[in-house]
Amino acid sequence: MIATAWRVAGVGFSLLVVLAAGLLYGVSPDQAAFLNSSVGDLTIGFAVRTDDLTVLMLAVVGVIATCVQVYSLGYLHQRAASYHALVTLFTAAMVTVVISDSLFFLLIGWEVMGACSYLLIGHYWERRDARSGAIKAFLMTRLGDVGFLFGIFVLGLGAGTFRISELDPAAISPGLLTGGTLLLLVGVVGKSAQVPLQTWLPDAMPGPSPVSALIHAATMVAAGVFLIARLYDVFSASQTTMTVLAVVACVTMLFAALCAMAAVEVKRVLAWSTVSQLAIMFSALSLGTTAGRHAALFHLVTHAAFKGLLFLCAGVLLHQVGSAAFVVLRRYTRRGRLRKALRVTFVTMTIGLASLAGVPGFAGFFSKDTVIEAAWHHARDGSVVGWIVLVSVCLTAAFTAFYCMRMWLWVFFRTPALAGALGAFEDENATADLDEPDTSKLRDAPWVMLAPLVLLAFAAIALGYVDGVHLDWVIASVSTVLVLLGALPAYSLWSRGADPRPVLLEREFGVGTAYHVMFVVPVQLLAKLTVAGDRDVIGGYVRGAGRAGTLASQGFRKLQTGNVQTYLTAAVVGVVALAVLAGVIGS
Amino acid sequence: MPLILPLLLAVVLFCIGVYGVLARRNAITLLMSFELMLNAVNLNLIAFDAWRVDGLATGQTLAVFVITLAAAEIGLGLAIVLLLFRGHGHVDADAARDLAEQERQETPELQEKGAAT
Amino acid sequence: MSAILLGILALPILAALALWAIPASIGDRLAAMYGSVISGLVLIGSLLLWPRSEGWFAYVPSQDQLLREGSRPLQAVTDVPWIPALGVRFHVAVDSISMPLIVLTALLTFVCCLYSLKITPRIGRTRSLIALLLVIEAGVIGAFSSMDLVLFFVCFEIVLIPMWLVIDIWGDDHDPVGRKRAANTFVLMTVLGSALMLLGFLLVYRQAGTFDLVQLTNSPVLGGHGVPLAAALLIAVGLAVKVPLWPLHIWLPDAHAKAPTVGSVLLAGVLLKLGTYGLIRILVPVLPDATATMAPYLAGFATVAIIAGSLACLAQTDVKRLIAYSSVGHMGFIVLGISTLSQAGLHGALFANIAHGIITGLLFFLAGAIKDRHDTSDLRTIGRALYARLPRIGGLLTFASLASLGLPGLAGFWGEMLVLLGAYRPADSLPRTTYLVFMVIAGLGTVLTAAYFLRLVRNLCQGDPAENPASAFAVDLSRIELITWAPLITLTVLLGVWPGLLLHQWGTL
Repeated sequence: MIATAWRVAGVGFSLLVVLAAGLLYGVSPDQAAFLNSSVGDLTIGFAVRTDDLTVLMLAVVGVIATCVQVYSLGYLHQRAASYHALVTLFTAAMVTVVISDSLFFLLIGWEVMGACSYLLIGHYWERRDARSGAIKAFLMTRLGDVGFLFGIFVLGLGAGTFRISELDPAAISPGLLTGGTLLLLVGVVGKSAQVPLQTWLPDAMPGPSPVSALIHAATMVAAGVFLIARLYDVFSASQTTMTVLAVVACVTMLFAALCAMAAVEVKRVLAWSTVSQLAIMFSALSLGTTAGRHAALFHLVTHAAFKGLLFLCAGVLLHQVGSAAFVVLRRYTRRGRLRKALRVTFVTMTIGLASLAGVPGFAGFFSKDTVIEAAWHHARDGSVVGWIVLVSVCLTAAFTAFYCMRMWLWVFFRTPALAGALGAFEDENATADLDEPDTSKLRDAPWVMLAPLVLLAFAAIALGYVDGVHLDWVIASVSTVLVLLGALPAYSLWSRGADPRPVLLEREFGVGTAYHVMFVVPVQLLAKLTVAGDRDVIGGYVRGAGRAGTLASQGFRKLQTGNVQTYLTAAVVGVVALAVLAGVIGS
Repeated sequence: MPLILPLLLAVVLFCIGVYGVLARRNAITLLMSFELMLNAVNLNLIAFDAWRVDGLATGQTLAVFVITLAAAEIGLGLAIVLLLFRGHGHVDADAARDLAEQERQETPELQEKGAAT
Repeated sequence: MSAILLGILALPILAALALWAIPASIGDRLAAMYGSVISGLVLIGSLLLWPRSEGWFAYVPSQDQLLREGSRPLQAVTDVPWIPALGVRFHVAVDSISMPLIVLTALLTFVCCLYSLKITPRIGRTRSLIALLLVIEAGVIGAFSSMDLVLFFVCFEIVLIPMWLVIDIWGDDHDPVGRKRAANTFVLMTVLGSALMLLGFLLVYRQAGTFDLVQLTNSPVLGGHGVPLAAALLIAVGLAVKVPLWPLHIWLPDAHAKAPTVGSVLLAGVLLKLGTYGLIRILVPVLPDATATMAPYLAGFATVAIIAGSLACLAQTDVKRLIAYSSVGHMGFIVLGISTLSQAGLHGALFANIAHGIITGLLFFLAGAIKDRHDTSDLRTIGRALYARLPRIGGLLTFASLASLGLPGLAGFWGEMLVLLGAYRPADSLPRTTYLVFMVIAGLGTVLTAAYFLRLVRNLCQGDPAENPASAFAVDLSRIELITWAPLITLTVLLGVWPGLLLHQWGTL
């Protein structure tokens, strides 16, 4: 009953967001403040605004949220009430971020999103990996958010206002501007899982797949991109911040793409791919040009469509097959069943992967080309940042094509290699790969789950043409060549039944372990030390004071002899001593 | 009469009293020594009153108070001495140590006894 | 107005005396109902007192603003001689600093009495418990409204003995020795603190010749060295015991962990606020220069408290002790806010005071509910997977934890945010760099806070239900619990989304 109410409310709310985006489309930009209160010379309160960016993001959030809510009707079987309530709350928080004109209002949405993400990753709280993934996600984003809060202080006090529309970079001294934007960048890096706070996103994958689609692919992690686009004047006024952003983005996109190339679980590949694609958006933003901002937002929109689609497809695999690990999916694929049984999923996922890889004609191709074009124009003007971005994005495009091709082939196709490449994903026990799963009951998902897939697959193609096709043929052909360069090795490896995964990549450069050793273990030690200190040092003083009192009382008890004359003698001696003392002091 | 003479007498009396209180063991002697000390004070009071005539005769009044108090005190003191004699069969102040601090281990027993009665 | 204030001061005391006069055979239920009615009346009275004018009275950065036309922040004034020989007056009044705290006190006492209707400590004797709660209420409201140092001290002390009895008699029934020791440590340390505070008050009297807070605020004891500094130190140390500030916090975990549920709620929700209120009301305005001299040190201890409290929480195995230690960290934030001496910091401290009272009250209610159901508060014995066994209580615990770790949109955030803002820009007389360091460390402290609360949720609420079967007495959220916690939950959300409700009240100075 309650679950049904929340289901209806969830779908209704996300449709409302779409409706709001439709109504606000074309409305001239406006702001409104409410619930303000002043603390000293500062005004702390809320404000909303509408402009093109707001409408665009509202539309993205609304559409993806609707797809996810509808999809979840079929996907979720247990604890649906809390799930739908949290997804709705998340949508509301994201809307808050998008429409906010006050930095604090934005922060509320920003962190409530993080909390919802935490709760939803922990939706399957029986599972250990879900529990630890949830905590990791919250703590790492929270660490970033501390920087974000300080950034708000620096910028807000520097400009004397916490309203985004009144934040004038010219009014802030350059030092504060750089400091403030760098601190905001810390929050952005945490939220969007960029290096060095990237490890939480792949570990967030034990959450339900629709949640991964909504939160960890389309909206929340893209909020960082949105924020920089929103504060673009402020950010682009600081050259240092933009350079740092470019370096972070370029390192992240290559790092994450390399990790995705060695991951052996569909959702984990997609998670690393998300990190990498977000980095592409950041690199476009870091150019500091209008074209860069436009390219980033364009890529944000197409990425939301195709990555949301891909996560939902992974959800179908999880839902129908029971696992999204390559090793399990391979057992079904060896008979060629998976492709035939899950026909709609196969087609939509193919579209999604093609779009992600940047196959010409799909949305991802156009948006990535826009980024490359923007970088090229910037690089041509003699910018080092432009060159770095250009090279990194091109390399990443090839890597992306590699892991898309690899995943597509291994998941859906029987390899022509000898013995069907037994043990390509099974390290310890190659013969376990021979287990034949019962494939007779394999069906495609119910229509409530497939309808969003079809819609998003359509979007993953059509969105590329919304912006109007204006291709630079040189760049387009270069990027096509890059896609081929990435896809061919994947095909060649697959056809030989080999999947070499370098240890370094498989362990994701050991960053997670390093963080554990560097931060978690010392904090645990310190915690033990603090408790011991409280008990033995501070508590020791208190207990010692008590014991000293008891000891002193035992000593004084000895004076109580019971002999009246002893007492009197003491009294007389005391009086005489006092009299003498009085005399000495008096004279 | 010079003031010094009665004051000297008072000092002598007081010192005898102090000596008696501190050094003698018999409780009756103790009480008598208290009386000596009190009377030494009385002598002081009267001597100062005669020396500094203020019309209100405060010294004399106070002396009368002290005499009254001393009477009451001696009554109470003798009663205690009487009880001491009944309980212990002697009036030796040194030997009467019922109020001495007991050893720690005995306290719970005492409390239990007290609770029982 | 002043009649209402006198009424809410006298009513609980008289009602408590009347309750003791009634024979003990009156049922527990009836006693709790009586308590609820009385504390409900006090709550209504305190709401009626809610000031109409903005601004507060205690801290004025510059003297000329004090005489602003039409600014009369003090309300409900009663000022009669009490001990004329010492110049002590019975001077009570409220302004916008004390009013929210008084309402919080009245609300929490009311909620505790309501809660006692159904759920009481196993020891019984609810009649006396209710009476003691009422005495505590009167004492705390008295301390929050007194405008005379001696009166403040008296009210401050009145609270101690009932609380001592509450912990000693109704505390953890599995551990009589532990609860006695906790109660004794609590009372001895706080009495030591208030003795030092009294010495400080006497020094102030020697310097200024009056105990009256209004006069003292209008003409504060200036000078940052010598006697004023000694007085400020004594007062600060005395109040820091109550706050409690690291390293004087050692009484707190035991007292909170051993106290009965209502005792913990009042102790954490209300009694700790006496310390921070005293700092804002007495230390800052009466000894402004001396406070500025020692503010960096106070801030340093507060920062250590934030980190140490959070770290200690990470290693706790007892849910009540964990929440108790979390108070150390949160109170550290409040003291940090006060020691910035800036408007944002002071506003933040006041806001965090209220928010901490509400949220920690809720947390202690939840911990008490979990403890009652499992007969222990040890995390390992309780087991995991509370979401499966007690889904509503588990969900509420998660909510309260999120609120307590300072999630924006809930009450806990604004206080901490304003404190950090204050530390970013402290008063001009303070060293800014030092405070920036404190701000960064305190910011990292919020991450640690999140870490231990998430660890609590993970170890208690989440987990495999198959390994942690439901116990026989696992009844989920009962009606009385829902009713008593509803105001706290509502306020947590309301203050989170509309901080102006309180911030506006304090206004600009």
